[in-house]
This record gives sequence, structure tokens and C-alpha cells, in this order.
Amino acid sequence: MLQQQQLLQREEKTITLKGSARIVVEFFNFHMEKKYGLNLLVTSHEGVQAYLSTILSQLDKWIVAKKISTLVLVISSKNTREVLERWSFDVQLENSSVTNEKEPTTTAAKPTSSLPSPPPAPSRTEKQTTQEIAAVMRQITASVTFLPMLDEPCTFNVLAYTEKDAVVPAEWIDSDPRLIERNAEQVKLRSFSTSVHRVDGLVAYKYVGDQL
Amino acid sequence: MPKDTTKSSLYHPYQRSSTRPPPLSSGDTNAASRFADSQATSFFPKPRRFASSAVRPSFASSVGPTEDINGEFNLFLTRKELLKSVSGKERLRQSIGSNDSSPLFRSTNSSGTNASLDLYSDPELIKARKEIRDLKESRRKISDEKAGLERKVHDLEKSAAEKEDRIKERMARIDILEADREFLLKHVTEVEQRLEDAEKNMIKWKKDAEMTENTLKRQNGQLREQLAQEREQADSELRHGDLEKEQMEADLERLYQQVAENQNEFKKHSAQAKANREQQGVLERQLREAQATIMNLQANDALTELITLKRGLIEQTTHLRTMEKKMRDLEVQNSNLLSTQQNTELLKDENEHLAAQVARLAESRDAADKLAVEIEQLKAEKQEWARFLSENDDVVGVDSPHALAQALANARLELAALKEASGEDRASAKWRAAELERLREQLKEREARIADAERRRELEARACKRLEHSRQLAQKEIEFLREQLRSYDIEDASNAADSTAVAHDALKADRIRVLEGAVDEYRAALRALEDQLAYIEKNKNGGIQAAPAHQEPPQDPQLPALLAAARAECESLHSRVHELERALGRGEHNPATHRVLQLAKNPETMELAVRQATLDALQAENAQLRAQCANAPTPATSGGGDRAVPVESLRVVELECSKLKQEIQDTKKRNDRLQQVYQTQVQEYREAVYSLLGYKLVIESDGRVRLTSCFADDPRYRYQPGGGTGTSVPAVVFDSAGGTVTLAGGSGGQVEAAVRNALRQYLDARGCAAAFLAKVTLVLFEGGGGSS
Repeated sequence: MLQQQQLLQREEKTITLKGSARIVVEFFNFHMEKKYGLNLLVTSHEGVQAYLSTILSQLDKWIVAKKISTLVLVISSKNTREVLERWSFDVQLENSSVTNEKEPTTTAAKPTSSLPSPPPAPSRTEKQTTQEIAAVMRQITASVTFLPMLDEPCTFNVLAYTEKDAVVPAEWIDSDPRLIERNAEQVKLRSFSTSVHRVDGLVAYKYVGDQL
Repeated sequence: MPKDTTKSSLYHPYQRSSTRPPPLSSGDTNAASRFADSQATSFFPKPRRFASSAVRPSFASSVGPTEDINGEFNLFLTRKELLKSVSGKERLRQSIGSNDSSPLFRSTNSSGTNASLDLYSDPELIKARKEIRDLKESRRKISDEKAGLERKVHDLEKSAAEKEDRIKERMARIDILEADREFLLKHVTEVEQRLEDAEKNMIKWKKDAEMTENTLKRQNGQLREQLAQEREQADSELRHGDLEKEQMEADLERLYQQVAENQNEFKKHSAQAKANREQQGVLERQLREAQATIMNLQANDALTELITLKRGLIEQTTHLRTMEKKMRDLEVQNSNLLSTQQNTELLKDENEHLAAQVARLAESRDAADKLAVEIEQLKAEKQEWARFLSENDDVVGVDSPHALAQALANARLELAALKEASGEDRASAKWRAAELERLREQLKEREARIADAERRRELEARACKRLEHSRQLAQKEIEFLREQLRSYDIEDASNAADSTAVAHDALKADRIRVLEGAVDEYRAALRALEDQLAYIEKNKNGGIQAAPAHQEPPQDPQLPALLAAARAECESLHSRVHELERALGRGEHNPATHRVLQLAKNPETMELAVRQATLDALQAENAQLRAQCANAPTPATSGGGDRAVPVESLRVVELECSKLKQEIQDTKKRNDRLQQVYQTQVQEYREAVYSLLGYKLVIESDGRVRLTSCFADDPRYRYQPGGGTGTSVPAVVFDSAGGTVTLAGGSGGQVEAAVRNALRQYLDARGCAAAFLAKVTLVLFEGGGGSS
């Protein structure tokens, strides 16, 4: 035990060769990829890639089935489990007349809320959608200017807000919404639309300005 | 200036006397003649002024003693003495006769007839003699006195001459001075005249300059107009020239094409004509042969054949003539085409000429621009001169070019200083104007801001009123919600007693749905009220008098109260919508309709599981260590023999070991994938090298490099055991450790010999492996039979 404590203290103070190698590998764990007309850093971590591919495949199914309303990326502290950032993306059905080929029309036009459905959005080209996504990406990249620095070790999780009657695979379980308890600030991001779906972005973060 | 001759008489001694000598009587002529003789025999020169008879003094009129100015001498005898002496002489003459040799006595002797011999006894004669002697003595005295007087006169005359000379000098000087004065007066007059002339000239020049300025202005305007016209004309000419040039180029192109076509046609026709000539020659030959044949046939009476041949001959001749005519036409056409080509050349020259004209026009345009600039400069210089002349009208000191240049330089300096000052003043004025404009804009902006602020204040006052109403409504709503909560509690209590939780949830969901419907209704009503409000505000502002077609203006007197209530409700609903949006942003959801899902195996839970496992293990280790410490004997009793590592520590280490093993597995997996990728890349690289360089490269385990040519698999070099030709290709092995090159394989023959020859020639002799390999490749490509 004593040895472990000493080791921990030593690790806190200095960076060993292994630690340095790990840091450098983590730095190169991302690669640059040109997407939406932008150079984006994409992770090369296999575990993260596998995790995200599982989520995205299921997300595709839910979107097609019109059973998802929000997708949330939660960044929380490893030590305290406190939610520090919450990136939520509302997926709204803009044009309810578009139906899935496999799905009957009667079940497709169900709105996600009880509010009156908005008028159908104008048709958009793929280029316009790509430009809007690029604008969202730019805004996300620029959000480092107002988001607080994350000084502690953090982890992340992805939450999906689905309809009650959505088909849920076995590997998905119910979760706490992971709200930011106090000092929450919200910033709306840009949105993009495919003329069928509209995705509104919002980032909520724990404001730490008063503690300084 | 004429001399005043009257003044000179003032200086003459005789004329200065107030009384002239009395004129002599006729009886005194001898004395006068004597005096004249004495005067004539005198060695003193006569005064010049006596040469004139008009001014000569007359002794006849001046008998008595003359008065001298100074009273120094008595020149003439008195009348009594003179009469006395005359009577004595006459008596002496009478007595002596003509013995006297003197002219006086001779003249008297010549006229007398009596002579007496007793001269010395006569007392009267003696007395006369005595008197003569006295007279002579007196004469001598007189002559002495006369000489003295004459000397004095001479001195006086000399002094008078000197004075006269001095006077002359002074007069000359006076004359010079007078002349100088006159010259100066004349010069002053001339200068004044010149000044007047200069002033007149200045005024005239000024007028001329103004006229010139006006003329130049007019000319400038005319030149500008002319320049603009010329520019327009030049532009139009240029455009016209460009158009003409394009047209001519097009015509030229078309003519070139036509010329080329005509030339081709001419060539064709020439060739055809040549062929026709040849044919004509052949036909003529045939004709001659036919004529010979005719002759023969005539002999043989084959007339029919002759007629046929004649007809054919005629046809051929006609054809030949037609061809010749066509050829002439073609020649004419060719000449026309040549003339057209010449015209084309002329057009080309004209085109170049036009291009040169365009260039000259551009140059003239540049020159016109330069002239315009010069005109501007001259105009500025003229203005400077005009300003200088107008400023220096009263300057008299400008009488030379130097002074004028100096004045001009001073004026330019002053002008520069004034320009500088005016520039500063202008800059400051502009700055002030800009500042004034800016201040005005700021004033306007501030007034607009004040108006906006006033408007906002009014709006805020209205909003305050609305907020007050909404607050009151919110209080009512709070009371309403409290009542509703109480009813919910009662419902919960009642439902908890006799119904299931599912039914309770369903009821809550229904209630939420009802409330959402109510929110929708509120929003619709709010929208309608907002429309009404907008309409009322428009009517209040007087913007629109006519009511919309689909809405009637409100007539209900309770409408303001309703409106206020609706506004308050709207505000509360807005705030509620805002709160709901905030809640949605926070991530709140309706559990009745939505679920929040996550992957069971996510980074957070994995991290949590690791942490929890570590925590559990540490807690267990801690508990075990505590128990061990509590149950442990003292060091004295235990002796230190049964010290053991707790099981939980072992488990922690095992956990770390498993974690590290997992990492090792991941790393190994990654390495395997990398190796696969590398192998693929290496294979691709080898294939590329093989296809490009023609050699397969294999690095063997012992460090040697084996090179196999791409022709090794060629059927020509395939090993044929039965054939015995031995044409298989040897492999080249480079031993990097030993630095040697060997040939492996091969079964001798021509190819191997050629390869070995190349090895000796390029590698051994010249040390170039690349050349050796290239040579081997060439040898194999040529089929082994190439030169060694």
C-alpha cells in the first residue's frame, strides 16, 4: 500500500517514459480528415470507434423509425462523476409526409410532441445541408472560446432520448438524464436540416466563473 | 544755352567807365595820328576787342585827361597844352622850313614856302627849342608814363584775360553744369516719361494679360472641346478602323482562302492543260500517222476509214481548241487572282498604314494630353504673373530684369508661404468642417438615441404595466396551481388507496396532455390578442384608418382590460415557455413519453466499474489489513516470522496484472495489424520496383541480396533439360558483407557469357552496378544475342 502511494505520488510529480509515450500516442490517436469541407480531427482509438459505430448504427435505425428525439453527449468528471458539459442535439422531423419504404404511412406521421406540427420545411440540397453541418462544426470548434477548461480527468457517455415505444436492443439500458445540477449555462448552436429532419444543437456547461 | 554776349562788356576796362573820352576835332587829327603811330609802333599788342571799329575808342571824342577807374594815370593832354604845342610846332615849322626830317615837319614843309637862315639867333627859336626839348622831355615822360600805363594795362589786360579765362572756365563749367542740369532735367523728364510709359504699359500689359487670359481661357475651352471632339473622333475612328481592320482581315482571310482555292484550281487546270497538251501532242502524232495512213489509204481507196479518221481528228481538234480556250480563261482568271492577290497585298499595306495611323493617333492623343498639361501649367504661371502684377502695381523699383526677377522670386516665396499658410488654414478648415460634420452627425445620432430612448422608455413603461398585471395574474395563477396541487394530493391519496401506479401514471399523462392542449389554446388566443393589439396600436398612431377586411375594430369597452389580461397571460406564457426551453436544454424529459438510454458498455460505466472494483478491492484490503493489525501479536511475541501479504493486495496486483495483460494484448493486436499492413506495403513496393526496374529483389537471411531479372521467366530463357542449350538466366547475388557480386544459377551458354562479360566490363572494371544491371537487362531484352 505504501509502495502504491509512493508510486502514485511519484507519478503525479514526474512523467515517466511510459507515461510520455502514452501521452504522445494519445496525441496521435486522432487523425485529420477532410469532411464537410473542413479539416476535422477524428479519433483513431479503436475502442472509441467501436463504441461510436455501435451507437451510430442504432441511431440510424431509430431515426428511420422516427423514435429518437435527442442525442446527448455527456462529459463528466472521472473523479466526482459530475456532469461538466452536455452537448445535446434535438432531432426533429420536419417533413412528416416522408415515409420509410418499409414502414406503413399510418405510423410514420406521428409527431414527437403534442404541439402543432410546424409547416413543411423547404426542400434543401445536399450541398446546403453540408454547408450547415460545416457551420455547426465550426461553431463547435470555436466553442473552446467560451467553454471552461477541463482540468480534471474526464470521461464521456452518449445518451439517446427515444420514444417510449421504441425498440431497444439488449445492450442499451435506461439511464439517468445526467443533468447539470447547478451553475448551468446554455448556448444554442446552429442547426442543420435535411428538409426531412432538423437537428438543433445546444451545449450546456457548468459555469465555474464564480468560483474563481 | 545761348551765351549772353552783353555780359562780357562789363569786364572791358573802357566800357566800364561811365564817361567816354570826347571826340577829337578836325584840328586834332595830327595828335590823333601821332597817337595812332605811337600806338602802331608800340610793341604791346593791341587788345583784341579793339579790332572792331565799333568798340575802338575814338580819340577825337576823348581829348581831355581821362578818368581812370583807379585814378593812376592821365593819358591824354589837355586841350590848352595840345593847342599850345600845335601852335609852337607851326611856328617852328615856319621858321625852320623843311629841315625837319620828321614826318610831321615834312608834311608841314611840303606845304610851306618860306625858309629863314638865322635860326639860332632868334629867341623865339631858342624858346621854341627849349619848348621842344621840354616837349620831348614831356613826351619822353609821357611815353614812359604811357609805357607804364601800357604795362599796367597789359597787366590789367592779362589779369582781365586770366579773369576772362577764369570766367570762361566758369562759364564752361556753368555751361557744363547747365548742360548737366538740363541733362538731368531731361533725364528726370525722360524717367518720368518712362515711368508714365511703364505705368501705361503695365496697365496695358495688365489689360493685355487679362485679354490674353480671357483669350487663353476661351482657347483652352475651345481646345478642350476640340480635344474632346478629337478624342471622340479618334475613338470613333479607332473603332471604325478596328471594324475596318476586322473586316479587312476577314476579307483578307477570305481572299487568301479564295487565292488558295484558285491556286489549287489553277494547278489542277495547269495539270489538266499539260495533260491536254500531251494528249494534243499524241493526237498530232496520231494525226500525222493518220495522214500517212490516209495517204496510204488513198492509195488503197479506203476512203471510209479516212472519213472516220478525219471526223475523229476534227473532234480532237475541237476538243483541243476548247481546252485551249479553257486554258486561256484559266490564265485570265489566274491573272485576275494575281491582281486580287496584289490587291490583297495593297489592302494589307493599307491595313498596316491604318495601324500606323492608329498608333500615330494614340501618340497624338498622348501629345494632346501633354499639351493639356502644359496648358494647365501655363495657365497657372499666367495666373501667378497676373497675381504678381496686380499685387505690385505701385512698385516703382521694378526697373530692371534683375529687380523684376528678384521681385518675382520674393513674390514666389511669399506665394509659397501664403500657400503653405493657406494650405494649413484649408487643412484646419477642412478638419474643422469634418469635425463640425461629425459633431452634427453625433448630434443627430444623439437626438435619434434620445428619441429611441424615449420610445424605449415608453415601451418599458408599458412593459412595466404589463409586468405588474402579469405579476398579479401570476399570483392568481400560483394560487390556482396551489389549489391544483392540493387537488393532486387528494387525488394521489385517493388513487394510492385503491388503484395501481400505472393508472396513476396514465392519469398524470392525461393531465399533462390536457395542460399542453390548454397551452396551445393559450398560444392561439395570445396570437389573436397580439394581432388585435397591433391593430389598435396602428389605429392609435394614425397610420392606418381603414380596418382590415377580416377584423372589425373592437368596440367593446371592456376590451382594454381583456387586452391587459391577455398580455399578462402572454407574458407569463412566454416566461413559462422560456423555462420549459431551459428545462429542455438542461435535458429534462417527460418520462411518460420518452426514455433515456445508454449503451450498457460505455466509457463512463467502464471507468466506473474499474473505479468501483479498485475501490472494493482497496476497501477489502484495508479491512483485512485492519483485521490483521487488530489480531496481530506484538513484535516481541510474534518474532516476525508469520508476516504475510494480505490476500486483497494480491487481488489488487492481480487486477493490475489483468489490466496490463489486456493492454499487452491490445498492443500485440495492433502490432499484428501493422505488420500485415507493412507486408502489404512491402509487397506493393517490390512489385513496383520489379515492374519499373526489371529486377526482383530478395534480401536473404544472411544479408545477401538476390536480384532476378524479369526476363528469367521468359520462355526464351527457360531451362530446358533436354535441349542442352543452356540459355537459362543466372541470378545476380550481391553480398553486402563481403562486397562481392556473384552469379547464381545459369547453365552457361551465350546469355551467361554475355552476363559475365558485362559483369567484368561494368562492375569489375568501372564499378557501376546500375550500368551492369542495365546492360544485363538490355542483353536479355535483345534475346541474348546482343553485343557483349
